[in-house]
Parts: sequence; C-alpha cells; structure tokens
Amino acid sequence: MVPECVNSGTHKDKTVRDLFVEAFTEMKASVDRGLDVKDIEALYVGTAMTEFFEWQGHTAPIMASWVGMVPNPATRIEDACATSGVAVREGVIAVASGIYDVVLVGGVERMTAASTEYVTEILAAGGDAFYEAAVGFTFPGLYAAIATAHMHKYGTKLEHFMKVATKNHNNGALNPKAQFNASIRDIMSMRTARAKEKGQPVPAWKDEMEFLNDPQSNPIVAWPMRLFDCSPITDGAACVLLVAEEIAKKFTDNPIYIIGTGQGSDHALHERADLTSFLSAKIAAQQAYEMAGVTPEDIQLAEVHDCFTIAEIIATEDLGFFKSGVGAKAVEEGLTARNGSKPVNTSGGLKAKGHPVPEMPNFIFATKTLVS
Amino acid sequence: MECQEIKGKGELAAFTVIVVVPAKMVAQGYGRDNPYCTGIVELEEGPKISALIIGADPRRGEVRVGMSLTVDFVDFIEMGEEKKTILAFRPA
Repeated sequence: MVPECVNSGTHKDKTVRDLFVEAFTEMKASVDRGLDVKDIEALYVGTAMTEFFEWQGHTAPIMASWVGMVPNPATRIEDACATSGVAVREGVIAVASGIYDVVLVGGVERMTAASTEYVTEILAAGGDAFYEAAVGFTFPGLYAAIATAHMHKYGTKLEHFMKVATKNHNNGALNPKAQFNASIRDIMSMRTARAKEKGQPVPAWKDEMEFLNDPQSNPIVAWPMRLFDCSPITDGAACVLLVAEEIAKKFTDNPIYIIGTGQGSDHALHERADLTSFLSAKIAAQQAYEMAGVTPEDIQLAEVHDCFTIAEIIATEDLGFFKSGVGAKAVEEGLTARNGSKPVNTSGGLKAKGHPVPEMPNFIFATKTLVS
Repeated sequence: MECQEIKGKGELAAFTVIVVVPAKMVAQGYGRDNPYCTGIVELEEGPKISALIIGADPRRGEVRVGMSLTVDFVDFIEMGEEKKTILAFRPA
C-alpha cells in the first residue's frame, strides 16, 4: 500500500470531483518511484451522500473519468460513516483475490455549502428513516442517546467527553491538514482577541474545562453532546493506492502492509441488546486481530471513529483497549493522549481534522504516521 | 412474521434533547429556542423502540433514564402531504 493524501476543511467553491482530483494528484506525487495512471486497474470510491449535496449520483465513473482511469472498472461504496473504510476493505479483498494488482481507493464528500438544518436532515438518512429519523432522531441525537445510556450504566460524566475533545484538539493543533488546526486553548485565545477587537466583553475562561462548560462557547447540539463533542461539517477527499505485496517495491521503498481487516453490521440503535457498545465494531476488530495475529495489547497507535466524543470512548472499549465502561476513565488518566500508553487519534481525530462523511482521514493519518 | 399487540408501557432506556434540528422538524416549529426530546423506550414486553418523548421538560430534569412511560401519538403536518402520526411516549 502506498499512501496518501487528505484535504479537509471548507471548500465551498469546489465540487466533489475537484476535491477528488486534488487528493489523487497529491497521492500520485507522493509515490516515490512514480505511478502511471494506466497501471491502476480498478477504483473503489466512497461517497456517502453526494446525491443530496450536489445532485450527483453514480460518482465512481465520474471520478474515474476525472483522474484518467476510464475504461477501467469503478465502483462506488456507500456505507454511511464507514463508507471509505469499506472502500479500502473492498480494495484489499480485490487485490488479495488476485484479480487486480493495483487498485485506487478513496473517499470524498462536499458538505459545507448546505445549511446546518439541511446537513442534519441528510445525515439522518444514515439512520433508519422510518423508525429513527421519523421520530426526530438526528445523528448527533443517536450518539447523544448512546451517551445517556453510557452515563447511566457506567457513571460516565460530561467532563469525560470534554477531555476527549481537548485531547483531540491538542493533537489537531500539530496537524497542518486539520480543519481545526488549533488546540482549545488556541481557540480560547482567538475568541478573546476577537472580543477585544470588537470592543465586546472579554470572556475570562480559566482553562479548557471552563470554556467547554460555558453554554455560550460550547452550546448544546443534542444533549448531552455539545458543539465541541461533535465533529464538524467538512469538505474533503482522500485516496490511497493499494498494490499487491510482490510488486510494492516497484512503487515505493517503504510500503505499508495491511495485515488485517474486518467488517460487521448491526441493527438500528433501538433494536440493539446493548446501547453502550457497537457489536459491528467488536466483530470487525476480532476479525482484524485474528487475521493479523495480534491482540489489543499489541496495538501501539489507534485512529478510531470519533464522529462524537462518546464514539471514541466506546471505540476504545470495543477494540479491547479498555474494559467496557472504563474508556472514560482512560481518557481522564491520559492513557489515550499522545504520550499515554495507548495513543488514540493522534491526528486530531475527526473532531479536529474534520469529518467528510465517507471518513477516510483517520485511516490515512495512521498510514502516514507509520511511514514517518 | 406476525403482528403482536403491545400494551404501550415501558421505561426510558436512552434519550436526547435535540437543539440543532433537521429541516423537517423546523417545519414542525422546533428549533434552537424550542428543542424536542426523543429517545429509546424499552417496552414491558421486551423490545425497544425509538419515539418522541413528550409531556416532560428535560430542562427541568424531568426526563431521566429509567422513568416509566406510556404511549401517545403526535400528528405532524408534512409539507404538501396529509397529516402523519408519529409515535410518542409521555410520563406514565
């Protein structure tokens, strides 16, 4: 596998094809021994909701056309927030099957041009339209409900969620490609400076927790999830080149090997026996660990899905890093910080880095970290 | 598959108060100044279901995981459509 490229942020003037071509161009330039587009045999591209955002369906051949891959097979994957993760897995399966040796996988979405109310409505389509969205559930709302169940069962506190946000922003401050390339302290300083400039009352937050407890600076989105518990609305694209192990050295001196992968599925939230854990993530992790021949103890760095802060806490439990209900305490004790025993989302996570829904940035960052 | 009648009584298993509302709920009059509560109810018969939670003010701490609920229904008027009946629960 050869990385990389991810661009997240606000790009209202660009379309999904612009963003994807940009990511592809950067990826191509990063292949140290060179890549001829003609060598790419197939494309698996994740776009979750382009029909809603720019009235563009059938995105795979469009992307193939714009990166010069026509007439090779191009397949679009849609699996909500797992979209691009599944695209990578489909690419891995295709190469492992022996059908292809060189495959491009990627993900792209452009969301910021739409109003928050419209984005909220569109994202709810990733849930169950007839049972969840129909009674007003939004995506932040579903994770918020999960958070109340976790709080009730394990005593998890709002402060634990705030610790996740603070950690991920601290990490995002070191990532130049992050949508929020700033720690919460940086954001506090910016807000204070802006208030002074405008001659408004200058807020006097003592620390991050005071800022995050202030309903003015951190308003509720879906209680108990506040603004800084939610990953932002983002425009972004990313892609990765997957090649067969035998020919990897033709492209780069430093290939990264994918040694395990897994995937699962689950019911609508209300049908799940346990509201505080994701069965699909547990199953996927078990499969990946087994294929790779490793255990959770062997993992030295994890990029997990933190669309909301509660999701990161639960992911660290489902992946077996911590026992059920202990993920919150682990954040509090700094175990998941960059210098902790189990660093999680050192990229800044989706929280700071941005969350174009197909969600590839965390995967890309992990591979880039491995390269460097 | 067969239909089974349920009594419409249960306990709140999880909930949220939605302040940033989707376009569809804006049309029902909800918004930042008028949030709504939605949740997951564990029915006496065992299964769980998603529903609006009405008749209790979450800002006054009146909505809690574990509270007893009874079924109710709310009519929504969808733009350009006939009225639509939405599943809701209220404190028992």
